[in-house]
Amino acid sequence: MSKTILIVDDSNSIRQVVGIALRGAGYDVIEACDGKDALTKMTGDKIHLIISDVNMPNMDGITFLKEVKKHPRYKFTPVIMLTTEAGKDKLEEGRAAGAKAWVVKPFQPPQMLDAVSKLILP
Amino acid sequence: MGIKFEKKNGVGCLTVDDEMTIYNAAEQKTEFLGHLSDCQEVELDLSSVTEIDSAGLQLLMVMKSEAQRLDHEIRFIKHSQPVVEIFELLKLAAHFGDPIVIPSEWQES
Amino acid sequence: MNEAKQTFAQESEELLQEMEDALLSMEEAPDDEENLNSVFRAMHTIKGAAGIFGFDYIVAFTHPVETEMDRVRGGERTVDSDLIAVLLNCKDHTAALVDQVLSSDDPTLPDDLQQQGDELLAQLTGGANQSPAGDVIETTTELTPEGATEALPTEALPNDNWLISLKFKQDALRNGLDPLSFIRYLGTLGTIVDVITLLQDLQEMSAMDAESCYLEFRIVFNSDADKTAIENVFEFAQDDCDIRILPPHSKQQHYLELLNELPETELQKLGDILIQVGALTRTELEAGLKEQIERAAPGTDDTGEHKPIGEILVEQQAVEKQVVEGALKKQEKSRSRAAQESRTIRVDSGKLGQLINLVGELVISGAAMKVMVERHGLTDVEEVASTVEHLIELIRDNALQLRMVQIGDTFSRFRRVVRDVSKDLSKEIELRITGGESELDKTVVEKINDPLTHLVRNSLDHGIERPEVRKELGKPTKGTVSLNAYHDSGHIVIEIKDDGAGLDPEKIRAKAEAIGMVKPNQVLSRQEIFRLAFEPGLSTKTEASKLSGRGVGMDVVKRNIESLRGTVELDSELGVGTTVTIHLPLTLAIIDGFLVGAQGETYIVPLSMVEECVEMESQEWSVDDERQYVNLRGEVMPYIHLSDFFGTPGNPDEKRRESLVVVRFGRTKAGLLVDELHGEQQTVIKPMGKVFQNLKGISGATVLGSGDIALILDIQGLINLANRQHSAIVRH
Repeated sequence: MSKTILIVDDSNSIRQVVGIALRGAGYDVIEACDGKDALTKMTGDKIHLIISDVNMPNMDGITFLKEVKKHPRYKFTPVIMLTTEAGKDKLEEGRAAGAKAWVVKPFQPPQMLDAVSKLILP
Repeated sequence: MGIKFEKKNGVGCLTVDDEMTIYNAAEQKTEFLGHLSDCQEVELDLSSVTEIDSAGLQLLMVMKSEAQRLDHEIRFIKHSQPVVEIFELLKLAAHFGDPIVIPSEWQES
Repeated sequence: MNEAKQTFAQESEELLQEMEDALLSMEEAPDDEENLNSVFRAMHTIKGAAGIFGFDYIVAFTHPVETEMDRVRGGERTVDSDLIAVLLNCKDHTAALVDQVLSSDDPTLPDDLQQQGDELLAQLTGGANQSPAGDVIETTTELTPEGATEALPTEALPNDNWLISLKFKQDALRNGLDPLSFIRYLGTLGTIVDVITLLQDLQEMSAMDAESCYLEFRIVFNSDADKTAIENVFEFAQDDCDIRILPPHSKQQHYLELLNELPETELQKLGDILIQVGALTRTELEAGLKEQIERAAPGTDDTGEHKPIGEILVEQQAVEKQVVEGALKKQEKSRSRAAQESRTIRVDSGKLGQLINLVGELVISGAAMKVMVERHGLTDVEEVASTVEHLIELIRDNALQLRMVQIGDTFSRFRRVVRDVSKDLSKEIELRITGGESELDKTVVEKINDPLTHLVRNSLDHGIERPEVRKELGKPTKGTVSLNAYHDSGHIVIEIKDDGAGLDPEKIRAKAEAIGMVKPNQVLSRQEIFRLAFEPGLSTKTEASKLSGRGVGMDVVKRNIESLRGTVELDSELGVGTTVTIHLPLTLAIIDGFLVGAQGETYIVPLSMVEECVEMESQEWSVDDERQYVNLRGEVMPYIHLSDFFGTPGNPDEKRRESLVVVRFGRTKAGLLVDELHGEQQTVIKPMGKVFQNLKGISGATVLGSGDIALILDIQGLINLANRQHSAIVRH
């Protein structure tokens, strides 16, 4: 039974690249283009990991993260924040809100796979 | 889905037909501990555990140590593949001391 | 071998000097770590060097001293005056051992030295806790983290495994961190040999929160990965887990080897050294530093001192004690090396002398070139020539600077003398040193040591009174001897001053009359009377003491100083104190000269002594032939007529058109009457042959650019002569 990862990013290409890498590694991938969109896709089915960008339209990553932490079905789901070197303060904010993992953009797919496999069993 | 309980020859038989993760650990804990204190001997069938994480593992350990404290007996039987995998990962088989049967149809991981 | 021995001796001497300085400062600041380190370092380094040479008895002596110093550094023993006294003796004894090495190839020590050393060591270690050398057995930190001691018998651990200890915090699971995933991921970096999974102490199972994490893991892990890579596995867990990563024994060995191989060229922080060899990760260091700051927070630590980062890291089990010690040793080495390297390069003084001679020749050639350029009117070459001239000047200054050393080292040697003498004489004396940073030529420094010693001892011996006498006189019981140095017009001035009994001019005069040096009716100024103190045969001391029993009188002091083209003056007030002032030229090699001519002869006045030059037609000055003085704008001073003085034959009919050069030495001025003023020129002082050494008014000679010889005037000598002439005439 493969595990499900939700990737939230407003960049189509990032979603695509990450999606391909993760599917290739045997995960199921759900994509969402911002926080709001992501919440609509969290319908009760098991999600093992969320990968979320910080800066997104409609609902940014931090707000989304806080929503996730309130959600009874998903509050314990590990979250990987996608940050930039310049966004270190956002990273701290995210860690305080419960997203303990992060990957700094720009990244290569293997880095993302490493981060993912530190957090969930295959 | 859930936990089934029946008593056979004085042995409390528990079957978990669910994942054992942080999402249902609290609920499972209450139920397990309740049965454990009621029965001198408990058998926990893990064959239908579809997924297990650290919270689930922790719960199994708590059960063993609680049984020891009560001087009751608990056995884990029919470990499912996810359970065996983490037991192997943590070299826990010896710790729990229950025989683990590995069916041949399991894929090598 | 002999050369190596010399190097060893020299190095030892320097180290011992540092050790002595440190010991003496320790009396005032017993807790200053730097001082303790200096003493330790001296013993440590000498021991090490002696070991290489196979000077076993030096090793045998210095090792216990070093060990004892280590105890002091570690706070196991406190510094008191007894310890300092013993250590001073140990320093002396080590010096004696080094001398022994130089004078004899015998590998065994003469009995007296051996016995002396044994006694010192017995004093040092207090006899009782005397420990045989080399018994320091390191207690290795336990590999097993606390709590798992029973679970993981150490002997069961193959030595080549990492030991990773993870203690998760309660919120870990809620934060989506699954310890199992991390451990599984760890498995991709190597082999998980064994895992012990523990539940943190749960009193009551029913009270346990199933969503909280109570898990602890001890993982025995076999991998070639480095510490940072392993730590990275748990990167995301750093907020929610206490992570300890203990490297395998082979790694420890490896770290120690790497530590050894590190270059000692730069001084690094302990943490950086450990990170560099891979024994520590940056995250661990940051955690350690944070801990350090927190512990030093006001209120939590009344000493206000930081606990060393090394200790914290060992406590946190981030690094093994052994490795930290290795790194500290490395740091110490780099530090002492850095200190030495940044301070000095050892150069044979002969080579420096050669360089300065060559620069001297260069100066002369430069002057010759200048003359040629002027003579042939090569205007286009002039610019190049003046650049070359300027560069030569810089080279000259730099070359001379190379031989300049601070007088401070010479001064601080007297601290020991003062200390010892005041003990011997039961006097309380404080030595005050100022101006130690003033520099002068090394050759001058070497030669000034003896006269200085004599003068200081005089002050200690005859100057400063006993405490009870001083008390009676209303002086502070503690006497003060001050050594001061400063630069003044191309000279260095050294003052030796005491607040002791002072000299009685009457007594000096009486003594001088008694030996027939002055006539009873002779009128002498106070200054002149004190000058008598430097005459042979005149000493006011009535009994010879241990200190002045060196057979060196004040006359020898004077002669020594004058041979350096310096002067010495004495001023004293009875009951208040004595000041001896020494003027010395900064260098003996090259000076900026001022060229003057008299009857076709060229003379050089050291430029630093020229106060001013006044042109011949000037109305500002007049000469009084009768009374032998010049009057310059109302200021009267004695003068010397150069061509008359040196008896150069001139045409008496020719109307002399003279100029006045005012020279100054110390506080006295005089005028030199010359015919021509030629201006400034660098002058290389060539010493005069022995035959001419007694010439009055001449201190040396030089070769001019034109190839002619010019005499360098001994200005202080001339001033003295002028004064004498002047006063002789006035008295008549």
